[in-house]
Amino acid sequence: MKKNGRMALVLALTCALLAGCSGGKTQGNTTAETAQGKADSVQTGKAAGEAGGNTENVETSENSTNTEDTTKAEHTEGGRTFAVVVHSTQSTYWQTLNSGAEAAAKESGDSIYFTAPINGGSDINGQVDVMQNCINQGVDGILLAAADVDALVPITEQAIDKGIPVVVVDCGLNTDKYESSIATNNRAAAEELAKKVAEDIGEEGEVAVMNYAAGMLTGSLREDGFREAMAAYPNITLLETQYYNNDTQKALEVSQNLLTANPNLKAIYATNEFGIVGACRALMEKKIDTVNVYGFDFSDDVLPLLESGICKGTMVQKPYDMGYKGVETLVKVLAGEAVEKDIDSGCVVATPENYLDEDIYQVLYPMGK
Amino acid sequence: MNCLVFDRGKGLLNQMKSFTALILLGLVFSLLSSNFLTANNLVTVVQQSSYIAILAYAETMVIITGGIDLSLGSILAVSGVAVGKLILAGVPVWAAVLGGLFTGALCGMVNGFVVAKMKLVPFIATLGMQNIARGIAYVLTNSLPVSGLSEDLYFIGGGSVGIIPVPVILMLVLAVVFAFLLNKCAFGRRVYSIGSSREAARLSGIDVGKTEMLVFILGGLLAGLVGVILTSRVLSSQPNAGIGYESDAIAAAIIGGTSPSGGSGTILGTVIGALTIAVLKNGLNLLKVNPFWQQIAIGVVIIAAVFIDRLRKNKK
Repeated sequence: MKKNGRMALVLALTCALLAGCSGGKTQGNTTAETAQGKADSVQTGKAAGEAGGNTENVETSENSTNTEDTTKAEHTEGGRTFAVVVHSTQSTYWQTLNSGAEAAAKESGDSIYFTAPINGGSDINGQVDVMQNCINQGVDGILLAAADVDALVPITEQAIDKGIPVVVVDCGLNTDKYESSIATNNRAAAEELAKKVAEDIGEEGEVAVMNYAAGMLTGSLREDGFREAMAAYPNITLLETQYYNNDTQKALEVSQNLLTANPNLKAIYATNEFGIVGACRALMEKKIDTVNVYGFDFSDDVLPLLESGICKGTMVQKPYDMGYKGVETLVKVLAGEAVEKDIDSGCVVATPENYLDEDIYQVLYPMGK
Repeated sequence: MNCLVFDRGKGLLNQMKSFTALILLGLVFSLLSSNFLTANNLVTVVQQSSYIAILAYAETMVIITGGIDLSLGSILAVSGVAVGKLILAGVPVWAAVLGGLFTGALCGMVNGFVVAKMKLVPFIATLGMQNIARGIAYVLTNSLPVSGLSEDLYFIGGGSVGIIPVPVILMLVLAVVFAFLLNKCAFGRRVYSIGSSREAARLSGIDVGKTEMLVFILGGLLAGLVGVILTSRVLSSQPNAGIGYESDAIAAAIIGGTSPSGGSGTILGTVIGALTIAVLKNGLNLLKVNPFWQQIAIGVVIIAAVFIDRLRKNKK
């Protein structure tokens, strides 16, 4: 009997462990949620009652037949819940976007449910699952940064048809049904950065291109825009793209190999902050100062690289604004007001010379530092 | 250095075979790329192999006992986070490094407890730890890197003694230490015995649980060390560091001759295996081959290595 008892305990623990693991996957990583227990505000009945443009505050505990009503007690008084669905909760960029969203939500008395697929932005199916969860939970609005502008269309249209307004941020979506799109024009930004790179290196030389992942729209736009703009400079040679899987260490390794294979390298261009950090650190390790590093996005790790001047320029987007405007737009939509269909949230190049200027610093650290 | 070469379970011959294969691979690349055989690149290759090699020592031990460790990548991440957080809290760098190593060893101890006391198979135990440690890393950091670490930390990961990078020195020193442990110590004898036949080992009086516990603790310690090194290199703890590194470590051990069914394997073989993977990646990179072919290549080499091992076993 004792032996069976022990076996049962072990089995039960293992099952609990596995269940816990698998249960977490579709929910996404919610570590950045504010402490209001937003996940509790789940009433599947709500979405049905919300058919577009309903301006009433959503106290549906009387209307809903859902047995999860008991969690209502923690629900923000008179507030709605907006889901912010991004690629990954594990990056400064998305967390900043969320901060903007939360700031706007605070002003309107609503709350935010911050979520993403647990395996990151390349897990497109994971993001579809997350969207499905949001629909089931009956959120009042969704801010979506699509992992793929085509694959996320069906589920997004489903949400919209159920009366959940959707605002797309960061990279658009191939459908017309969303309320508004707030994004950086990645292609144009990459073209602008390319011109700066060309200018800095005297319009001639070899430039390496590192992309954070293959087949991701944002990365592709940043790479294509760069390559197209560089085509105008006949004396500049762009090397074949290397990928680093959003891993700083891999970016470091790839940079090391790039430097070995191309001793005349003048510049390295990376499509996000992990690439910038990896490339700069590789240069610092080998004590090389003849190569410039450029790229997109920003994090605390990039700051010392700007300070030391080894990163010559990074294109910084305005995720805070995207999040803020996004939620603002959702609130307007629910209030029945008109909104702009396409908004360019803009971006700036932070350089070692200008990063301390107030307007630039504000973009780097919108929440202050 | 007898202990490195003459070992239990495999002969000198097999290590020579792996080594020859490595040399051949190197020759091919040096013919195809003028940049391969430069001093700078060779140092880079060895450095790039050092992280995988150190993790692979851990995998070698575990695989010899008939198990596997899927949690090394996650343990290294959470150890790196521990170091970063400690430094930011004002702890002196050397103490923070010890803290990171301790974190790794602690995770290893939990693995050992689950395997030895709760009697779960290592695959399941370390699969659980893989998720738990990674989750802890994310929770502690809110998924953001821990930045702004003191420059004093840089030496371990990014420094050199003369031309030799510190991680390479660590790799070599640890190779000697672990080869000694496996070949000259009672502990090593017990590890091989358990791998050959668990039941026979138990019946002959070996405390299987205690040995396994020690194997996992050492594994966690090594992963902790790699976590410290990687954090030091970029002066930032990345909670998403090391994802998938245990796969490369297992590949290195297998390619180096560690038998997947347990009971045999050597540190020297593992070093050669780690170098082989690094040379493959580096060479293909220099030749500007599509990076995804590297993955295919490594997969093919793993299968080939185990197949050859199987053929050798059948011949006996």
